[in-house]
Amino acid sequence: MSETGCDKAERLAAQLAEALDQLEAVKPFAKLNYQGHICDLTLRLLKEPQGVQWLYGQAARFDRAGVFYGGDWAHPASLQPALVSASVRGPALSVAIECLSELRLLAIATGQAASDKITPEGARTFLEDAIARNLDLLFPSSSEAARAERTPLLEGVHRLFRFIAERLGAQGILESTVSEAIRILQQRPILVHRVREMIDAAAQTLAGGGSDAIYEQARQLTNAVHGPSALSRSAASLERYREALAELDARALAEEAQAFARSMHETGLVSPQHAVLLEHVCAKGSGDGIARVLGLDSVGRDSLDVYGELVRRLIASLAHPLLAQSIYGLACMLNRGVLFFPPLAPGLWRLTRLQIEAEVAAALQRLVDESPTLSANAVLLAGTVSVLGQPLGVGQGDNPTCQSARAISLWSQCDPGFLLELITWAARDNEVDMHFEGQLLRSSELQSGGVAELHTELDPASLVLVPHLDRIYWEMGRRIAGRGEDGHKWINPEFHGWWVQRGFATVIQYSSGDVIDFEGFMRLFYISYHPAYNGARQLIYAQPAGIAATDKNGQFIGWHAVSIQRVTVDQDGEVRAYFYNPNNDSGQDWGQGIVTSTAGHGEFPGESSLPFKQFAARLYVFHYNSRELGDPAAVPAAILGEIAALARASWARGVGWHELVSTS
Amino acid sequence: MAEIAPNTSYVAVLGWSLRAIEAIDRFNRKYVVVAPSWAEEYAKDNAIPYIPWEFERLNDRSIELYERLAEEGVEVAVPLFEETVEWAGAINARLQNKPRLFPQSLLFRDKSLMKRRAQLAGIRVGVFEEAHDRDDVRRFLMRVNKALLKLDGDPNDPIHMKPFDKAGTYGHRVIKTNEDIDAISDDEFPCLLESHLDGKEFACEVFIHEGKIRFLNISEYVHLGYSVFIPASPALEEWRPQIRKAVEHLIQAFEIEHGLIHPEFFITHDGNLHFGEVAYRVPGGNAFELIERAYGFNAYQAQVLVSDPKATEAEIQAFFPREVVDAKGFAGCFLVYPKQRVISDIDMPDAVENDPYYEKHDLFMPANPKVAERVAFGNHYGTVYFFGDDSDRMRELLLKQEEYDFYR
Repeated sequence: MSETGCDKAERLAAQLAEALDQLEAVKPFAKLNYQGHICDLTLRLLKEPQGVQWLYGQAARFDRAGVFYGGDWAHPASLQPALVSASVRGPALSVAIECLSELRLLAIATGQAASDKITPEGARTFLEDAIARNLDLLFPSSSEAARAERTPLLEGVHRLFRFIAERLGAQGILESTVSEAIRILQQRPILVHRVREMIDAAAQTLAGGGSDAIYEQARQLTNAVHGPSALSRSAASLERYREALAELDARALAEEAQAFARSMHETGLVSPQHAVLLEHVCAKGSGDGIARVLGLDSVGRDSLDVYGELVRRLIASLAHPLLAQSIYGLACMLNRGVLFFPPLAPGLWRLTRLQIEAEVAAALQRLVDESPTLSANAVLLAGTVSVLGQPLGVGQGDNPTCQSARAISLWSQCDPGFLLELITWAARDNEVDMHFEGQLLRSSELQSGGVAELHTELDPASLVLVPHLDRIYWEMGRRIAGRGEDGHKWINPEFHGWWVQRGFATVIQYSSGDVIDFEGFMRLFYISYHPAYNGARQLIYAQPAGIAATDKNGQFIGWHAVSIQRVTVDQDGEVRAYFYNPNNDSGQDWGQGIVTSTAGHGEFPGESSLPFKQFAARLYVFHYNSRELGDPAAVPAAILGEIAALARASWARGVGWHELVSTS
Repeated sequence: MAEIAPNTSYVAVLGWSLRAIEAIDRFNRKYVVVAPSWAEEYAKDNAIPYIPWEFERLNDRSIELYERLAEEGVEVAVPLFEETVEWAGAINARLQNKPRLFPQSLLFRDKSLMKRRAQLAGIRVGVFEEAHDRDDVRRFLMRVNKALLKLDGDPNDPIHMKPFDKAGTYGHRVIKTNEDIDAISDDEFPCLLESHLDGKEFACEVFIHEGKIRFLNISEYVHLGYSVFIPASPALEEWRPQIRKAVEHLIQAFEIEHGLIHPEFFITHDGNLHFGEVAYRVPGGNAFELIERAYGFNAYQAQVLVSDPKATEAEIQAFFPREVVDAKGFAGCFLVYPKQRVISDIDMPDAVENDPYYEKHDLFMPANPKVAERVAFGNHYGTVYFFGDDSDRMRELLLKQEEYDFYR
């Protein structure tokens, strides 16, 4: 006689209750002996259709029994929603613990359990945030990748997320999803497919209703993705929409164009219909019409006037539903006026005709699922235009290649002609050459860099460039090995360009890893960058810099590459450092109340900002112009002391700390 | 610590085992754990009574541990691991003023001495010899096979090679050919050589107090080094009277008064029992866990109880259940060794998880994904536990486990 699923889940739940009794009875030092059994039962229950209910039935006692004792999950207030995704897809043990922790938090959030470690609101916020970041777990996507990873255990995780969402209510999830999507979009990333998934997921919860404001925002985002105008939404297909456009008179077409342009510039999102509209308008021949569809400002219109033929050529490539997102990049590129920089127009023309190396072409075509209607050149052009239009929207994806992403961003800002050159080499020759201290480095002859296998969830330009840049960067690192100093001193100017200042300061002694002369380092930073102490000099070229990345508890995570974009006073009169972070999401909590802002303090889209002092508290490497410095004595010691205290209580905790002894 | 029963001994536990400490902490004896200094922080953090000591070979400083324990008021030392057996012997000899306890403990620590003692007492053992180099091994293999009337070209009967002083199957080699002999490294000598005993191998856990057997468990090996269950099948339990007699003989021969022994025997086709070896400590292979599952009593507590000369008859009677009849079922386990060179995560086969006999496992990922080469029968990665009421089904199930890979 075979056991039914219900009986089985019930039997396992009874075993779980017994195992929890045992666990609860033993002294803390012995908990470890019993936790594995709980995890095993959890994994088995997760695979049963009714298992989550049975697990939740006991969730109120998980903490008390000691399920999390001795591990990171014992401190629920320190848990990070961003890590949930990796945990539930990780080793079986972490799946079990993460799911148990979620259920425990749900019990706390709904008042089923009390906790002295986290408030019900804290638990609710964590879960809402976790769900907002893992909407694919709530609404399983049907993509090939998602299908491939589907296992009975992951099905169980899906059930768990649905279970939690049902109990938390759609309202909170919708709100956190929409605000998360808006927060990310404000940074205008080039890659938006994850945001689109979030928006699609939010659209599914819209059916359940919600407050007016959030409903309105969600609808605006959904429309930006699926049809910004009534006409585009009512058309059953892109083909039908094309036909409908042909019926419009000039005024209606102008209104249609305005609706699309407004939606695109307000959200940073482009719908596939936008490609159809742009193609339609372009075919009709009116430059004014193109300007309207792209939402160009006066600089953009001038760019279009002067480089009309090139722009039309670009549109011929980009106006494809699969490349529609790059239309935003095109609009931004024209509005930036960057086409007026002499090498750009011929550089872009060259790309339209470029013979792309077979391996590179195949990689580019994989980005568009090998659509037969798209050439590799079109994909590469779309990527190039995006990078030129949105220099601060470049992200490193899931790769540890912050250096390369930052370089692409900096070149797009400071040296776009060179960037076009690099893209051309990489695409045509599958090779990039650079010189380091007079010696030629050819990427094709170098060993692999920091990344063994590139995650290809990248924009087309990065996909083509990063493998080469990464290798060259690491080779430069090998060449300076043994000099006993931080190699960025030599590498950064050679890797990026002459405009990286040769003055170089680091606070870490290379040989020992200790902090040396923090005060001197910080004083130098103030007189180089802070307008009140550097003679009110503006930063001309964005400069690479290194920060000590910390988590929200201020714990050191690793060294990270950013670039300082500018330092200026915000609307409240506070001096802020504005910087570019190649991480895909720049809104980050670094602990000690240091939360990077991405909007609301005068940031350009894609910039992060912090009050100058807070930024300084994480800085460990920067470049400076030794001929343009202020008076070191003018920097108040009190400020430097404050910054040192922040550093010592966070990333420099436990690190040797040596100040120079003052002889004065 | 639970409430301490009056008129009981203060016990020193030699060696660090969280399972043992946890069980003894719940028991009714005052105790202190003696373990290397790496355990100090953990002991302090968790308020575990603790005395630091590095168990190396006995030396001139050994007296210091005795003095420290005597000063503390300890009355009995209980060894958890093979390496602590002679320390327990040395300490108990002084604490209990029974000088012979120390040389007695050395019998357990030297397999060659152990066999001699058994042989002297008339216990049936195989042929054995000590080996100091490969030539000794070659000679022994040749002589044994000559005695078995093997002709040139006949496959050799195997011989076994074991370190004198290692627990269980650690360092155990089976030798049949000259190539096997060449593969032995120099540092494995000196060692014990013995002839192969055909027949069914099994082990016992015997709890002895005042020289008498208080509880005798027979563990049935399904496949040595892989699987075992408790209590033994009815077919093996039929031999219990003979086994009991053999164990009593062993207790006499080794003059054991208190404590736990873990002897291994072979039972031949014609019903003769051959003595394999005996240990005076917690057995490997999770026998204690299985005993607790089958009988419901904690074997660590039982070990402390019978090691305490002050334990009363009434306490012992009340503690132990009746052998075999009081078992709630058969508790078995399978020791898992990964089949692949590199593993990334546990992958429990559905067939195992869904078997009604399946209970639990402790296979979760080890820190190092690279699988270490298997040494003899040792270093398994984890254990899968089963429980059920039919010993035949248990045997089949345990054998079936050998087909599975528990990792991916």
